[in-house]
Amino acid sequence: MGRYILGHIVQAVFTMWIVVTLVFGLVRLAGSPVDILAGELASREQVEALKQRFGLDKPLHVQYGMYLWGILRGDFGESVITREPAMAEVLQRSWASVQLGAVAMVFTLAMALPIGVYAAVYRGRRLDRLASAFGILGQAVPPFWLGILLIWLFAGQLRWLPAAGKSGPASFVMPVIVISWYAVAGIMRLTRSTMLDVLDSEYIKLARIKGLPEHSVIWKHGLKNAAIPVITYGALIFVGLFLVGSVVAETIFTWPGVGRLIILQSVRFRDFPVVQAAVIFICFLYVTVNLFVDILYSYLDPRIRRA
Amino acid sequence: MQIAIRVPAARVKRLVVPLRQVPVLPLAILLLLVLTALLAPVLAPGSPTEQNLGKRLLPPAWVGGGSWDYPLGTDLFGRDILSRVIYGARISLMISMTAIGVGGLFGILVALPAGYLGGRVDMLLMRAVDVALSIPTILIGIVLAVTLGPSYEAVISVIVLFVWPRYARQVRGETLAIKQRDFIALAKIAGSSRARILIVHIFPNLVPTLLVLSSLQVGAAIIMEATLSFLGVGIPPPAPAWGVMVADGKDLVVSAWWVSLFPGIAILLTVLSLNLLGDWLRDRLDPKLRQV
Amino acid sequence: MTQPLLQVENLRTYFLSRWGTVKAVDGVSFSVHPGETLGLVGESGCGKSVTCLSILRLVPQPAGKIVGGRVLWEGEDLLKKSEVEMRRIRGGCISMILQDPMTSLNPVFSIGDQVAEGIAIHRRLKGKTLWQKTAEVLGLVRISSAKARLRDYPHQFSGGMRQRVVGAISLACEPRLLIADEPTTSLDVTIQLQYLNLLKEIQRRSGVAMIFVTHDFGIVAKTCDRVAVMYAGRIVEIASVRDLFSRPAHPYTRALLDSIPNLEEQVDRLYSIEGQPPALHSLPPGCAFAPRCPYATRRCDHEYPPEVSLNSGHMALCWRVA
Repeated sequence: MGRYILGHIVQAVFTMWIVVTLVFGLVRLAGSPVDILAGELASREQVEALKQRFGLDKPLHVQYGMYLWGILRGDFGESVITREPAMAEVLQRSWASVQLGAVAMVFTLAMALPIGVYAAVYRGRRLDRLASAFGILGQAVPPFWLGILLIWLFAGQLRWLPAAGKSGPASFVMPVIVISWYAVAGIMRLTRSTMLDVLDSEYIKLARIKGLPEHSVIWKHGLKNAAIPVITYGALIFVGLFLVGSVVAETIFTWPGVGRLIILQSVRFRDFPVVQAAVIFICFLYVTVNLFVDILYSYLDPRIRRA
Repeated sequence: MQIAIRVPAARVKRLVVPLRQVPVLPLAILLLLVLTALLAPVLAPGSPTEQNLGKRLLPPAWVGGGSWDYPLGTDLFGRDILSRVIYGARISLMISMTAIGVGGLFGILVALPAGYLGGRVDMLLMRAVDVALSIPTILIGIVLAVTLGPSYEAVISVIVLFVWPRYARQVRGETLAIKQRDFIALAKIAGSSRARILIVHIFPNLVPTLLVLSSLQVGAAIIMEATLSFLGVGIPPPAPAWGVMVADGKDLVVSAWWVSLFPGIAILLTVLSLNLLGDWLRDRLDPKLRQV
Repeated sequence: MTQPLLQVENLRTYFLSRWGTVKAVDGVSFSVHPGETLGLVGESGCGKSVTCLSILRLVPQPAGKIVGGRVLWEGEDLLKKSEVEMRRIRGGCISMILQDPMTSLNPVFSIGDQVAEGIAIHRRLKGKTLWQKTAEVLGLVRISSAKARLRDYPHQFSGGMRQRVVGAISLACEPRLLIADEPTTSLDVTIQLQYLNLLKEIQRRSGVAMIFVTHDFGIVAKTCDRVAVMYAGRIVEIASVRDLFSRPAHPYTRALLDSIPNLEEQVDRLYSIEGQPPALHSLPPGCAFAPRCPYATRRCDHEYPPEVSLNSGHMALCWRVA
């Protein structure tokens, strides 16, 4: 168990290092890092200060060392627009993103797991067919387009929900749907198919032979087994989708979070220090969530826990 | 039909049933898509990029105020949406096919020998695949767009980055299974070289898996390209990429819904067809393959 | 004679498949008396397992359906019971051991949890007393240092031990009837014998009746009092073990017995039954065994043979003995 977790922590750190290095490489690849890091409007003094700070006049490996050291201390330079520390800009908006992501995560699981399980239990019936139709259709509808259709319907035609911004609970509805969309369709399909395998198994038969009530056969003996592949495969695919979904949803609904910041700053202002800080911050969250899922997986599967 | 009269009923059934099960509609849509992409200059009624500021935001022809000169209406710059959707098929297909080709080939080339040789090479590959799978590629895409500027090459690179570990994983798993089979042992006994075994004996057996995987991954690639373009970090704007077009209509949706609607439908139909085809192929060729 | 514990009358279980209706169990009748062991013998796919699952009303849904007959438990028809009443019967009165010990334990729950679960439901025990009882039951199937192993998981046990745990789960609530569906098929030969002896010993102590499904006549001879031979969804012969071995009446039974290698006799080659068992979705109108039967006449092909009582408790379905 300890070794398993340690292995995954090492891998998480390694992944972070790869991403950080990739970003470093891409900046140097683009030619003059000074222009990218300082922005187009920087004064001569600012450029000089930046050169000092990141050692841009020094050899590449020294630059790389300074860059890594900066990241470890949380120093990503300053926003070329506001001249505030880049990481502060990101952290300031992180709470809104985390709130939205958490609600979406809960919503996804609350929708996908029960529907998937019921679809498997009532295989071939109307609920199952409806669910698989949604699953197939759902995976083909691009979330960003869905978001726009939702705005047209709920904010434009019906005027039920606010089209943009973060205000009351109503403002969460559309972004949450956009973020969860793919994940609900995918996890539902995955849950259904693994649950079908599980329900066919001998230990489910034995649970019934014991005289267990059906709800305990399905939700205890069934779901706990089905959860293992759902978590391994599911996490792999859907944490990534969540991330994309968040960036998309925050952009469409002008949510004051990191995802919108990243797009706004990169597309409109080319504010690289902030983009870089945000990318590494999101990556960190992403890798951490993945790590957490791996640990959860090991907890669920005694074959790993006891190893 | 004439043939059907002569052969026994049972055999006709065997012939007809699979035909009926072929997903005709998805195949037709995909065929249409490919033709559209190839014949875009012939099919498109107008130019996809020419602006006509006097004809801004015309609605589709069947809505009041629309005209058949612009069947699906025009966008904010007076560009013909139908022509843009048609040219968009080119971009979508070109980007996704190129990216899948490059990424898939790379994945196969890395995983095939590693899976076959096993041992340390294989372990190293699997580590690399795990790491690659846990890199959020879209963020790399954003960084790429800021540092090098948005471009076709950048989008393709991002999708390649996304796709190759998925191919590598699948190919490695299959290779491990195939190399246990008896005919590989026979080939070894017959003195075939490693390269020959890989190319002649193992690779053909991977084809069904690759077909299934590719049909599903092309869909994912199209969505990814569209998403990047929508966010403004993909295909650079005047180009009629579907994602860009949806973004064009983003702020107009309440008044000019058609700007976003039609390119979105194009994406939906394409990806839906690919997924249905992929599901069908999977059921046919490789029931055990999970969607990864 | 005492009232039978279980009486199955004309039980019919069909499966609806793409190729038509599969008559997996087609008019099966037999009874089991308290404390006795009935062997249920036949080739794989002849309907033995489905018969057992039908008794517990656990035929795979929605494909399978019990379409007719009665299953009387102490005179009451189980097919008419509500699902809640059935749950009290399952594990409490009638229990079952499945074939494959490697897959019949749930990998994500501890052994203790899985054994305790049934006891908690049927005996309404909780906490310490429940744990105590669980350890006791595991001791009964000779799991050494049972108490210490309660928190272990199935993957930490060997195949033989797992099958004993499955036995413990089935026997935990002292059922009156135990259905053992080929419980030793997937075990090593030496472990098979141990397991059979264990079951026999538990039976001696508790007086539990058993239905023992197998295709191995060696096991039948060792464990059973009476034997029912199944072919293509029907019981073709039923008799005491002694009668069946000494005076088999049905050609199929005889063929099965002939195909057992006999170490005392020298034979040139082993006997085997020609042909395949029939497909259960297209049974012939007459005797299902007729196509493979060396004695078949035209009548056998067209008319189903009647039940013939040969002497007390010996019954066969064959025109030859009619």
